[in-house]
Amino acid sequence: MRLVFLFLIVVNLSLFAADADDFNDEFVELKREPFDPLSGYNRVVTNFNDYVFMHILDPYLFKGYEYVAPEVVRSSIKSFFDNLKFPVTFVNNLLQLKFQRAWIDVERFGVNSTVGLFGFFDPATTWLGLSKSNEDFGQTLGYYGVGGGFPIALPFLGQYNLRDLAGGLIDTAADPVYYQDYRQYNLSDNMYESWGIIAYKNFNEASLRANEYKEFRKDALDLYPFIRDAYEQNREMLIKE
Amino acid sequence: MKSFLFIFIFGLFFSLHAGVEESVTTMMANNSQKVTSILKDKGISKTKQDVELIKLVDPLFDFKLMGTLCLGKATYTALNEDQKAKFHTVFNKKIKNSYTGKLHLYTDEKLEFEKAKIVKDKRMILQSYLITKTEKKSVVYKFYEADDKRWLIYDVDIFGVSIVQTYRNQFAAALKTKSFEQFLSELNTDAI
Repeated sequence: MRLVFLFLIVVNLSLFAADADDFNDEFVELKREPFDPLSGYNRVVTNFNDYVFMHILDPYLFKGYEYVAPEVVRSSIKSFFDNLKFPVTFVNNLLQLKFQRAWIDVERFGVNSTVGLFGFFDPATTWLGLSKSNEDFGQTLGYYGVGGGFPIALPFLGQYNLRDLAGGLIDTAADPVYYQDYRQYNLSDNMYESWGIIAYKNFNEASLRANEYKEFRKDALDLYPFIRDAYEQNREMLIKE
Repeated sequence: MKSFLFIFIFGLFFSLHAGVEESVTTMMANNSQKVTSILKDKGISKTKQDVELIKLVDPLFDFKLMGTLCLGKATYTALNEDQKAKFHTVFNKKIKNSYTGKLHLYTDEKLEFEKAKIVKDKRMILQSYLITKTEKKSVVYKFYEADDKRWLIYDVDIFGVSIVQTYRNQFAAALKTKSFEQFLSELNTDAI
Protein backbone atom coordinates (compact mmCIF):
# COMPACT_ATOMS: atom_id res chain seq x y z
CA MET A 1 0.00 0.00 0.00
CA ARG A 2 2.83 2.37 0.86
CA LEU A 3 4.28 1.64 -2.53
CA VAL A 4 1.07 2.80 -4.19
CA PHE A 5 1.16 6.10 -2.31
CA LEU A 6 4.82 6.55 -3.06
CA PHE A 7 4.17 5.89 -6.74
CA LEU A 8 1.34 8.44 -6.86
CA ILE A 9 3.37 11.08 -5.05
CA VAL A 10 6.31 10.58 -7.42
CA VAL A 11 4.06 10.76 -10.50
CA ASN A 12 2.38 13.84 -9.12
CA LEU A 13 5.63 15.61 -8.37
CA SER A 14 7.24 14.73 -11.68
CA LEU A 15 4.21 15.91 -13.67
CA PHE A 16 3.78 19.18 -11.87
CA ALA A 17 7.28 20.11 -10.88
CA ALA A 18 8.08 23.69 -11.76
CA ASP A 19 10.24 24.03 -14.84
CA ALA A 20 10.53 27.63 -15.72
CA ASP A 21 13.06 27.79 -18.50
CA ASP A 22 12.26 25.23 -21.17
CA PHE A 23 10.09 27.39 -23.44
CA ASN A 24 13.00 28.15 -25.69
CA ASP A 25 13.38 24.44 -26.46
CA GLU A 26 9.94 24.48 -28.07
CA PHE A 27 11.05 26.89 -30.77
CA VAL A 28 13.71 26.61 -33.42
CA GLU A 29 16.68 28.93 -33.24
CA LEU A 30 17.41 30.65 -36.55
CA LYS A 31 21.19 30.30 -36.47
CA ARG A 32 21.66 30.51 -40.22
CA GLU A 33 19.46 31.22 -43.21
CA PRO A 34 17.56 28.22 -44.63
CA PHE A 35 18.84 26.73 -47.93
CA ASP A 36 17.38 29.10 -50.48
CA PRO A 37 19.49 29.24 -53.65
CA LEU A 38 16.78 31.17 -55.54
CA SER A 39 16.28 33.73 -52.78
CA GLY A 40 17.05 36.72 -55.04
CA TYR A 41 14.57 35.57 -57.70
CA ASN A 42 12.01 34.52 -55.07
CA ARG A 43 12.15 37.91 -53.40
CA VAL A 44 11.53 39.71 -56.72
CA VAL A 45 8.62 37.38 -57.60
CA THR A 46 7.06 37.71 -54.12
CA ASN A 47 7.25 41.50 -54.30
CA PHE A 48 5.78 41.37 -57.82
CA ASN A 49 2.90 39.15 -56.65
CA ASP A 50 2.30 41.41 -53.67
CA TYR A 51 2.29 44.50 -55.90
CA VAL A 52 -0.19 42.91 -58.32
CA PHE A 53 -2.37 41.88 -55.38
CA MET A 54 -2.32 45.18 -53.51
CA HIS A 55 -2.50 47.55 -56.50
CA ILE A 56 -4.46 45.70 -59.19
CA LEU A 57 -6.32 42.65 -57.91
CA ASP A 58 -7.59 43.91 -54.58
CA PRO A 59 -8.63 47.49 -55.37
CA TYR A 60 -10.01 46.87 -58.87
CA LEU A 61 -10.53 43.30 -60.06
CA PHE A 62 -11.68 41.74 -56.76
CA LYS A 63 -13.91 44.72 -55.97
CA GLY A 64 -15.62 44.43 -59.37
CA TYR A 65 -15.91 40.66 -59.08
CA GLU A 66 -17.33 40.87 -55.54
CA TYR A 67 -19.96 43.27 -56.88
CA VAL A 68 -21.25 40.77 -59.46
CA ALA A 69 -20.59 37.64 -57.39
CA PRO A 70 -21.33 37.98 -53.66
CA GLU A 71 -19.44 35.82 -51.18
CA VAL A 72 -22.08 33.09 -51.14
CA VAL A 73 -21.74 32.67 -54.93
CA ARG A 74 -17.94 32.66 -54.81
CA SER A 75 -17.99 30.10 -51.98
CA SER A 76 -20.27 27.87 -54.05
CA ILE A 77 -17.93 28.14 -57.03
CA LYS A 78 -15.03 27.19 -54.77
CA SER A 79 -17.04 24.20 -53.47
CA PHE A 80 -17.65 23.11 -57.08
CA PHE A 81 -13.92 23.06 -57.84
CA ASP A 82 -13.12 21.46 -54.47
CA ASN A 83 -15.55 18.65 -55.30
CA LEU A 84 -13.88 18.09 -58.67
CA LYS A 85 -10.59 17.62 -56.87
CA PHE A 86 -11.91 14.33 -55.50
CA PRO A 87 -9.60 12.05 -57.58
CA VAL A 88 -6.56 13.95 -56.23
CA THR A 89 -7.51 13.79 -52.54
CA PHE A 90 -8.77 10.20 -52.86
CA VAL A 91 -5.58 8.88 -54.48
CA ASN A 92 -3.34 10.76 -52.06
CA ASN A 93 -5.29 9.53 -49.04
CA LEU A 94 -4.83 5.98 -50.36
CA LEU A 95 -1.13 6.56 -50.98
CA GLN A 96 -0.78 7.77 -47.39
CA LEU A 97 -2.69 4.69 -46.17
CA LYS A 98 -5.51 6.86 -44.80
CA PHE A 99 -8.21 4.45 -45.89
CA GLN A 100 -10.96 5.86 -43.70
CA ARG A 101 -10.33 9.34 -45.06
CA ALA A 102 -10.32 7.94 -48.61
CA TRP A 103 -13.73 6.35 -48.00
CA ILE A 104 -15.04 9.67 -46.61
CA ASP A 105 -13.81 11.28 -49.87
CA VAL A 106 -15.93 8.78 -51.84
CA GLU A 107 -18.97 9.51 -49.68
CA ARG A 108 -18.46 13.25 -49.95
CA PHE A 109 -18.10 13.10 -53.73
CA GLY A 110 -21.25 10.98 -54.03
CA VAL A 111 -23.35 13.23 -51.80
CA ASN A 112 -22.06 16.59 -53.03
CA SER A 113 -22.23 15.66 -56.74
CA THR A 114 -25.89 14.67 -56.42
CA VAL A 115 -27.67 16.27 -53.47
CA GLY A 116 -25.13 19.09 -53.51
CA LEU A 117 -25.98 19.90 -57.16
CA PHE A 118 -22.68 19.06 -58.92
CA GLY A 119 -20.72 20.16 -55.89
CA PHE A 120 -21.94 23.77 -55.76
CA PHE A 121 -23.16 23.00 -52.25
CA ASP A 122 -21.51 20.94 -49.53
CA PRO A 123 -24.23 18.98 -47.69
CA ALA A 124 -21.64 16.30 -46.87
CA THR A 125 -20.09 18.73 -44.37
CA THR A 126 -23.16 20.65 -43.23
CA TRP A 127 -25.61 17.74 -42.93
CA LEU A 128 -23.45 14.66 -42.47
CA GLY A 129 -20.37 16.10 -40.76
CA LEU A 130 -18.04 14.55 -43.38
CA SER A 131 -15.28 17.12 -43.50
CA LYS A 132 -13.14 17.78 -46.54
CA SER A 133 -9.66 16.28 -46.98
CA ASN A 134 -6.84 18.50 -47.99
CA GLU A 135 -4.34 16.10 -49.52
CA ASP A 136 -1.99 16.42 -52.47
CA PHE A 137 1.07 14.62 -53.81
CA GLY A 138 3.42 17.11 -52.15
CA GLN A 139 1.99 15.99 -48.80
CA THR A 140 2.24 12.33 -49.84
CA LEU A 141 5.94 12.83 -50.58
CA GLY A 142 6.31 14.59 -47.22
CA TYR A 143 4.48 11.72 -45.51
CA TYR A 144 7.17 9.34 -46.81
CA GLY A 145 9.94 11.59 -45.53
CA VAL A 146 10.80 13.64 -48.63
CA GLY A 147 12.04 17.05 -47.54
CA GLY A 148 10.77 20.30 -49.01
CA GLY A 149 13.91 21.07 -51.01
CA PHE A 150 14.42 24.74 -51.70
CA PRO A 151 11.68 27.41 -51.87
CA ILE A 152 10.33 28.58 -55.24
CA ALA A 153 7.99 31.53 -55.70
CA LEU A 154 5.94 31.55 -58.92
CA PRO A 155 4.48 34.65 -60.56
CA PHE A 156 0.73 34.90 -59.85
CA LEU A 157 0.69 31.48 -58.15
CA GLY A 158 2.69 32.27 -55.02
CA GLN A 159 4.97 30.30 -52.75
CA TYR A 160 5.99 26.65 -53.22
CA ASN A 161 8.96 24.46 -52.50
CA LEU A 162 10.56 21.98 -54.88
CA ARG A 163 8.71 18.97 -53.41
CA ASP A 164 5.29 20.62 -53.50
CA LEU A 165 5.81 22.02 -56.99
CA ALA A 166 6.75 18.55 -58.30
CA GLY A 167 3.83 17.09 -56.34
CA GLY A 168 1.44 19.66 -57.82
CA LEU A 169 2.55 18.77 -61.36
CA ILE A 170 1.94 15.08 -60.67
CA ASP A 171 -1.51 15.86 -59.21
CA THR A 172 -2.54 17.39 -62.56
CA ALA A 173 -2.64 13.83 -63.92
CA ALA A 174 -5.70 13.14 -61.75
CA ASP A 175 -7.29 16.60 -61.50
CA PRO A 176 -10.11 16.97 -64.08
CA VAL A 177 -9.63 20.75 -64.15
CA TYR A 178 -6.27 20.20 -65.87
CA TYR A 179 -6.84 18.95 -69.42
CA GLN A 180 -5.05 15.68 -70.21
CA ASP A 181 -5.32 14.13 -73.68
CA TYR A 182 -5.06 10.54 -72.50
CA ARG A 183 -7.84 10.83 -69.92
CA GLN A 184 -11.57 10.15 -70.28
CA TYR A 185 -12.67 12.78 -67.79
CA ASN A 186 -11.78 16.44 -68.43
CA LEU A 187 -13.65 19.58 -67.50
CA SER A 188 -12.62 21.29 -70.74
CA ASP A 189 -12.12 20.23 -74.38
CA ASN A 190 -8.55 21.39 -74.79
CA MET A 191 -5.52 22.74 -72.98
CA TYR A 192 -6.26 26.41 -73.69
CA GLU A 193 -9.75 26.23 -72.19
CA SER A 194 -8.23 24.38 -69.29
CA TRP A 195 -5.79 27.23 -68.55
CA GLY A 196 -8.66 29.72 -68.63
CA ILE A 197 -10.64 27.66 -66.13
CA ILE A 198 -7.59 27.28 -63.86
CA ALA A 199 -6.96 31.03 -63.94
CA TYR A 200 -10.61 31.68 -63.03
CA LYS A 201 -10.54 29.04 -60.27
CA ASN A 202 -7.44 30.64 -58.71
CA PHE A 203 -8.87 34.14 -59.11
CA ASN A 204 -12.11 33.11 -57.39
CA GLU A 205 -10.23 31.49 -54.48
CA ALA A 206 -7.90 34.47 -54.11
CA SER A 207 -10.89 36.82 -53.95
CA LEU A 208 -12.20 34.82 -50.97
CA ARG A 209 -8.86 35.12 -49.19
CA ALA A 210 -8.12 38.74 -50.02
CA ASN A 211 -8.80 40.14 -46.55
CA GLU A 212 -6.88 37.30 -44.93
CA TYR A 213 -3.80 38.06 -47.06
CA LYS A 214 -4.00 41.80 -46.36
CA GLU A 215 -4.23 41.17 -42.61
CA PHE A 216 -1.49 38.55 -42.40
CA ARG A 217 1.02 40.52 -44.49
CA LYS A 218 0.91 43.23 -41.79
CA ASP A 219 2.86 40.83 -39.54
CA ALA A 220 5.80 40.84 -41.92
CA LEU A 221 8.93 42.84 -41.23
CA ASP A 222 10.34 41.53 -44.51
CA LEU A 223 7.70 40.04 -46.81
CA TYR A 224 9.51 37.27 -48.68
CA PRO A 225 11.09 35.41 -45.71
CA PHE A 226 7.82 35.86 -43.80
CA ILE A 227 5.76 34.19 -46.57
CA ARG A 228 8.40 31.48 -47.10
CA ASP A 229 8.44 30.69 -43.41
CA ALA A 230 4.65 30.69 -42.98
CA TYR A 231 4.30 28.48 -46.08
CA GLU A 232 6.75 25.89 -44.74
CA GLN A 233 5.09 25.80 -41.30
CA ASN A 234 1.64 25.42 -42.84
CA ARG A 235 2.77 22.59 -45.13
CA GLU A 236 4.47 20.84 -42.23
CA MET A 237 1.18 20.86 -40.31
CA LEU A 238 -0.74 19.51 -43.32
CA ILE A 239 1.78 16.68 -43.74
CA LYS A 240 1.48 15.76 -40.05
CA GLU A 241 -2.33 15.77 -40.14
CA MET B 1 -10.16 -2.41 0.43
CA LYS B 2 -6.69 -1.80 -0.94
CA SER B 3 -7.85 -1.93 -4.54
CA PHE B 4 -10.79 0.35 -3.74
CA LEU B 5 -8.46 2.92 -2.19
CA PHE B 6 -6.10 2.61 -5.14
CA ILE B 7 -8.92 3.26 -7.63
CA PHE B 8 -10.19 6.16 -5.51
CA ILE B 9 -6.80 7.89 -5.33
CA PHE B 10 -6.03 7.20 -8.98
CA GLY B 11 -9.44 8.51 -9.99
CA LEU B 12 -8.96 11.61 -7.85
CA PHE B 13 -5.55 12.23 -9.40
CA PHE B 14 -6.88 12.15 -12.96
CA SER B 15 -10.15 13.94 -12.22
CA LEU B 16 -8.22 16.86 -10.70
CA HIS B 17 -6.25 17.33 -13.91
CA ALA B 18 -9.21 16.59 -16.14
CA GLY B 19 -10.97 19.44 -14.30
CA VAL B 20 -8.26 21.91 -15.32
CA GLU B 21 -8.54 20.86 -18.96
CA GLU B 22 -12.30 21.16 -18.81
CA SER B 23 -12.24 24.61 -17.24
CA VAL B 24 -9.71 25.98 -19.77
CA THR B 25 -11.83 24.63 -22.64
CA THR B 26 -15.01 26.14 -21.18
CA MET B 27 -13.29 29.45 -20.48
CA MET B 28 -12.07 29.67 -24.09
CA ALA B 29 -15.45 28.69 -25.52
CA ASN B 30 -17.17 31.35 -23.40
CA ASN B 31 -14.56 33.87 -24.35
CA SER B 32 -15.03 33.06 -28.02
CA GLN B 33 -18.76 33.74 -27.72
CA LYS B 34 -18.07 37.10 -26.08
CA VAL B 35 -15.60 37.96 -28.87
CA THR B 36 -18.22 37.10 -31.49
CA SER B 37 -20.88 39.24 -29.82
CA ILE B 38 -18.49 42.22 -29.71
CA LEU B 39 -17.57 41.72 -33.38
CA LYS B 40 -21.23 41.51 -34.39
CA ASP B 41 -22.21 44.61 -32.41
CA LYS B 42 -22.70 47.17 -35.17
CA GLY B 43 -23.64 49.82 -32.59
CA ILE B 44 -20.02 50.46 -31.56
CA SER B 45 -17.10 51.72 -33.61
CA LYS B 46 -14.19 49.48 -34.65
CA THR B 47 -11.89 51.35 -32.26
CA LYS B 48 -14.28 50.71 -29.36
CA GLN B 49 -14.61 47.08 -30.47
CA ASP B 50 -10.82 46.75 -30.37
CA VAL B 51 -10.70 48.18 -26.83
CA GLU B 52 -13.34 45.67 -25.73
CA LEU B 53 -11.58 42.80 -27.51
CA ILE B 54 -8.25 43.63 -25.87
CA LYS B 55 -9.97 43.75 -22.46
CA LEU B 56 -11.22 40.24 -23.13
CA VAL B 57 -8.05 38.66 -24.48
CA ASP B 58 -5.54 40.49 -22.28
CA PRO B 59 -6.01 38.30 -19.19
CA LEU B 60 -5.70 35.13 -21.31
CA PHE B 61 -2.28 35.84 -22.82
CA ASP B 62 1.18 36.29 -21.35
CA PHE B 63 2.34 38.88 -23.87
CA LYS B 64 5.54 39.54 -21.93
CA LEU B 65 6.60 35.90 -22.19
CA MET B 66 5.61 35.85 -25.87
CA GLY B 67 7.82 38.85 -26.52
CA THR B 68 10.74 37.27 -24.68
CA LEU B 69 10.33 34.05 -26.66
CA CYS B 70 10.07 35.93 -29.97
CA LEU B 71 13.35 37.68 -29.27
CA GLY B 72 15.10 34.48 -28.14
CA LYS B 73 16.84 33.92 -24.84
CA ALA B 74 20.34 35.02 -25.89
CA THR B 75 19.20 38.30 -27.47
CA TYR B 76 16.80 39.11 -24.66
CA THR B 77 19.27 38.58 -21.86
CA ALA B 78 21.84 40.78 -23.64
CA LEU B 79 19.46 43.78 -23.51
CA ASN B 80 19.57 46.31 -20.70
CA GLU B 81 16.45 47.00 -18.61
CA ASP B 82 15.52 50.12 -20.56
CA GLN B 83 15.73 48.26 -23.90
CA LYS B 84 13.67 45.39 -22.49
CA ALA B 85 10.96 47.77 -21.28
CA LYS B 86 10.84 49.58 -24.65
CA PHE B 87 10.72 46.29 -26.51
CA HIS B 88 7.80 45.00 -24.45
CA THR B 89 5.84 48.23 -24.97
CA VAL B 90 6.30 48.09 -28.74
CA PHE B 91 5.76 44.31 -28.98
CA ASN B 92 2.58 44.39 -26.86
CA LYS B 93 1.08 47.03 -29.11
CA LYS B 94 2.07 45.11 -32.24
CA ILE B 95 0.79 41.71 -31.09
CA LYS B 96 -2.49 43.07 -29.76
CA ASN B 97 -3.17 44.96 -33.00
CA SER B 98 -2.27 41.87 -34.97
CA TYR B 99 -4.53 39.61 -32.92
CA THR B 100 -7.57 41.89 -32.93
CA GLY B 101 -7.04 42.45 -36.67
CA LYS B 102 -7.34 38.71 -37.22
CA LEU B 103 -10.43 38.48 -35.03
CA HIS B 104 -12.13 41.04 -37.29
CA LEU B 105 -11.56 38.73 -40.27
CA TYR B 106 -13.77 36.02 -38.86
CA THR B 107 -16.91 37.81 -37.66
CA ASP B 108 -19.33 35.27 -39.14
CA GLU B 109 -17.22 32.15 -38.67
CA LYS B 110 -17.58 29.67 -35.85
CA LEU B 111 -14.70 28.48 -33.66
CA GLU B 112 -15.12 24.87 -32.48
CA PHE B 113 -13.05 23.65 -29.55
CA GLU B 114 -11.85 20.15 -28.78
CA LYS B 115 -11.10 19.39 -25.15
CA ALA B 116 -7.78 20.85 -23.99
CA LYS B 117 -4.97 18.36 -23.34
CA ILE B 118 -2.08 18.52 -20.90
CA VAL B 119 0.91 17.63 -23.07
CA LYS B 120 3.67 17.87 -20.49
CA ASP B 121 4.54 19.48 -17.21
CA LYS B 122 2.70 22.81 -16.98
CA ARG B 123 1.83 22.81 -20.67
CA MET B 124 -1.57 22.43 -22.23
CA ILE B 125 -2.76 22.68 -25.82
CA LEU B 126 -6.23 23.49 -26.98
CA GLN B 127 -7.05 22.42 -30.52
CA SER B 128 -9.78 24.45 -32.16
CA TYR B 129 -11.12 24.74 -35.69
CA LEU B 130 -12.24 27.83 -37.48
CA ILE B 131 -15.22 26.81 -39.60
CA THR B 132 -15.54 29.01 -42.67
CA LYS B 133 -18.05 28.54 -45.50
CA THR B 134 -15.64 26.30 -47.41
CA GLU B 135 -12.84 25.33 -45.03
CA LYS B 136 -12.07 23.93 -41.61
CA LYS B 137 -8.87 25.58 -40.41
CA SER B 138 -6.76 24.56 -37.44
CA VAL B 139 -6.05 27.04 -34.63
CA VAL B 140 -4.05 25.69 -31.67
CA TYR B 141 -3.71 27.63 -28.42
CA LYS B 142 -0.68 26.77 -26.28
CA PHE B 143 -1.01 27.37 -22.54
CA TYR B 144 1.41 27.20 -19.64
CA GLU B 145 0.68 27.23 -15.94
CA ALA B 146 1.99 30.44 -14.41
CA ASP B 147 3.32 30.71 -10.87
CA ASP B 148 -0.04 32.07 -9.71
CA LYS B 149 -1.67 28.84 -11.05
CA ARG B 150 -3.42 30.61 -13.92
CA TRP B 151 -3.20 28.97 -17.35
CA LEU B 152 -1.99 31.57 -19.83
CA ILE B 153 -1.50 31.46 -23.60
CA TYR B 154 2.11 31.80 -24.76
CA ASP B 155 1.68 30.94 -28.45
CA VAL B 156 -1.01 30.33 -31.06
CA ASP B 157 -0.58 28.19 -34.18
CA ILE B 158 -2.86 29.72 -36.80
CA PHE B 159 -3.24 27.25 -39.70
CA GLY B 160 -0.05 25.58 -38.50
CA VAL B 161 1.89 28.84 -38.39
CA SER B 162 3.21 29.62 -34.92
CA ILE B 163 3.04 33.31 -34.00
CA VAL B 164 6.11 33.03 -31.77
CA GLN B 165 8.19 30.99 -34.23
CA THR B 166 7.37 33.34 -37.12
CA TYR B 167 8.25 36.49 -35.17
CA ARG B 168 11.32 34.76 -33.76
CA ASN B 169 12.65 34.03 -37.25
CA GLN B 170 11.89 37.55 -38.40
CA PHE B 171 13.45 39.21 -35.35
CA ALA B 172 16.59 37.08 -35.60
CA ALA B 173 16.98 37.93 -39.29
CA ALA B 174 16.36 41.66 -38.69
CA LEU B 175 18.83 41.84 -35.80
CA LYS B 176 21.59 40.36 -37.96
CA THR B 177 21.71 43.48 -40.08
CA LYS B 178 20.17 46.18 -37.88
CA SER B 179 20.88 47.74 -34.53
CA PHE B 180 18.38 47.07 -31.77
CA GLU B 181 17.10 50.66 -31.97
CA GLN B 182 16.57 50.42 -35.76
CA PHE B 183 14.78 47.10 -35.31
CA LEU B 184 12.54 48.53 -32.59
CA SER B 185 11.64 51.53 -34.69
CA GLU B 186 10.66 49.23 -37.61
CA LEU B 187 8.59 47.07 -35.30
CA ASN B 188 6.83 50.18 -34.10
CA THR B 189 5.63 51.02 -37.58
CA ASP B 190 3.93 48.88 -40.20
CA ALA B 191 7.16 47.81 -41.84
CA ILE B 192 5.76 47.04 -45.31
